[in-house]
Amino acid sequence: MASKTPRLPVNGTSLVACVTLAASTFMLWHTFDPAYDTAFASAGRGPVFFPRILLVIMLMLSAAVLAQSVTRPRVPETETAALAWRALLSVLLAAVATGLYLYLIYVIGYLLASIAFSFVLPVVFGYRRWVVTATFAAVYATATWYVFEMIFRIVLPKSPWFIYF
Amino acid sequence: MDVALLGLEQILTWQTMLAVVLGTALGVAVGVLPGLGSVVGITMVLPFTLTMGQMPAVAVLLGIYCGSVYGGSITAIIINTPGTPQAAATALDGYPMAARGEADLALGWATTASLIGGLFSVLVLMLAAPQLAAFSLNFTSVEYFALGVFALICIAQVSQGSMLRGLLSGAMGMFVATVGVDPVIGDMRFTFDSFALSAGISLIPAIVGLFALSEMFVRIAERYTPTVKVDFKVGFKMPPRSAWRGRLVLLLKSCLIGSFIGALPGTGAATSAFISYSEAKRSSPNRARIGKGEPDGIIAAESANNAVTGSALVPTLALGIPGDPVTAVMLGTLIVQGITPGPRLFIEHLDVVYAIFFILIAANVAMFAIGAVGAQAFTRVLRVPESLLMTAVVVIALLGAYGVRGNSLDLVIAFAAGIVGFVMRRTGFPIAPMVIGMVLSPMIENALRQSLMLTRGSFWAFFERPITLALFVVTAAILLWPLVRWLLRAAKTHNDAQDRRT
Repeated sequence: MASKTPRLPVNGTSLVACVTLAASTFMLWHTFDPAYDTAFASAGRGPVFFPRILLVIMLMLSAAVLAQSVTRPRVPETETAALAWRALLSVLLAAVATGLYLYLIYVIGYLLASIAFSFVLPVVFGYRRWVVTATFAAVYATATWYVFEMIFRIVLPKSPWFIYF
Repeated sequence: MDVALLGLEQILTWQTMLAVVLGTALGVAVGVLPGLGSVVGITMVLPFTLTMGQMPAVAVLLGIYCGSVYGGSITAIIINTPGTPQAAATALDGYPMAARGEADLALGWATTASLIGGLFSVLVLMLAAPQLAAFSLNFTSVEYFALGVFALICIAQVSQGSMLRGLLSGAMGMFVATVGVDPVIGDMRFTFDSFALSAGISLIPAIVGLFALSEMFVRIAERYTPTVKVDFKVGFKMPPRSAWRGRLVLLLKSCLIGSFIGALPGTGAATSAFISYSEAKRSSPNRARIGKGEPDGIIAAESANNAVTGSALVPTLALGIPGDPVTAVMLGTLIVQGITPGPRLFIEHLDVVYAIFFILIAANVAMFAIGAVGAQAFTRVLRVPESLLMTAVVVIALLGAYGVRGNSLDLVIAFAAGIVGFVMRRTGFPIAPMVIGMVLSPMIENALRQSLMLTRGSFWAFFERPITLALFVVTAAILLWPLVRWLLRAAKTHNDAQDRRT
């Protein structure tokens, strides 16, 4: 990764620990919801008995990880190198493309959505050979669709415009 | 004997044999590519296995498993880039051999040692798994609870990164698995009135996201470009029989190390390869040349990492407890195929168990043949642009996530898991404990609640059973060891400082 690009001003480990701390606190609070009081025969060990133990453990571990990352902020560079803004933008772009793909599968069908995604993702990766990318997208998406829909008879989501795909 | 023949009969079909060969070939290809490993390979074929018969599906999975562990050695030897972490130790002697023009011989040593290691581990599996399964028939829910906790702690402890982060990752995986229907009472929990969530968070989509999708995000972030031109011709040369003289003890020792380590939860092939390599460096008659292109280094690493494949299946098949993410995915897929690992499998479907043994033998033989014939061909996979390759992997893996239940929620889970996996990998949180936590959570919860019913709510009764007590003691020792080590180090530093003052 390019070391000269500006890095994010956050400690990733602390951020994750804060998120898990907040999430486990919320979920622990949620386990006291009256909806879970219905298990009369459970003798106090109803549906949230085990999750409560896990959430308490998660709370303690999150706090410990947070304390560790604050007191020892320097962690091995190879594993936790801070993410450059440019790299983060590429990842965000890929995440948006993937999210959109998963949504479009149900709107325009598997085949069309996969052709579009198989074309866009290599571009996000930085691949600029358009003919190769377009051919790959068309051939690969069609091949996977054919194998699953026609040979294995796995029903894939279809577009509203065509009968077969 | 009749059961063994029945098992053999089940795999002697063209479909199963073809599945073994194709699975192993795909495994070798996946192993050759740096960054993609056994888990991604298995998730890629998941949608295909759904439409296959039971035995061909198992054959594909085991073929990929064996092939991918071996495949990493090809790139380790030829371009000094281990395709998988398991093959990192192989590069230490394999590449120097290739650099002095003996790549064909190095591949010969690696392939032969892999075959012997793999077959040895099948033998271990055949001998140990039935014994362990028979022994575990005496287990009650209390023992299973202790065993589940022990396995999870082991995996968290040996995972990369700090133990705290490993434990947190495991706890998160366990909690995620509690979403949905309570297994004992049947009440809904953490569904927030969503009907889709009532079926719970499925393992396979989570694995697809955590491994395949997060790998894509990591590569985009790092602009990882391993496209390599392999200009020189690579052949395959069997090591002469005379060269084995004096190396058989090393081979046996490495096989034993690999098999033993493989059976322990959380360790895996990379650890066994390095331990075996270190042992060879300490005790081999040729130790002075190890690291400079000595076949002993390749034998030690390759036989040990392949010896893990069979022995890692011992706890998976006998107890239904996976030792690593690969066996966790396999466990999930076997269940989809109607095979539920555990002691009952050895009583009710012994023919299936024998069939699995025979498939593993066939996969190892196929691996040898593929390595001998096509090592050069597999290096061509490296020429495929990374962007196209990753796109292909992601599309097929997402198809796998969708195909298990045909549920749109699974695609959302895979996507969310991909982002979570990426963040975890970037911040040094290991993914493996999360996956194992998801697999073990239902078992641990059921065992805990059943045990509390048996003991009338008394936790103390857990410690009255010898096996449980032993497991708890070992678990506590593993948990407390970092603290003890820190205290010892602090005491030593304190003493040194006092000595300096006096």
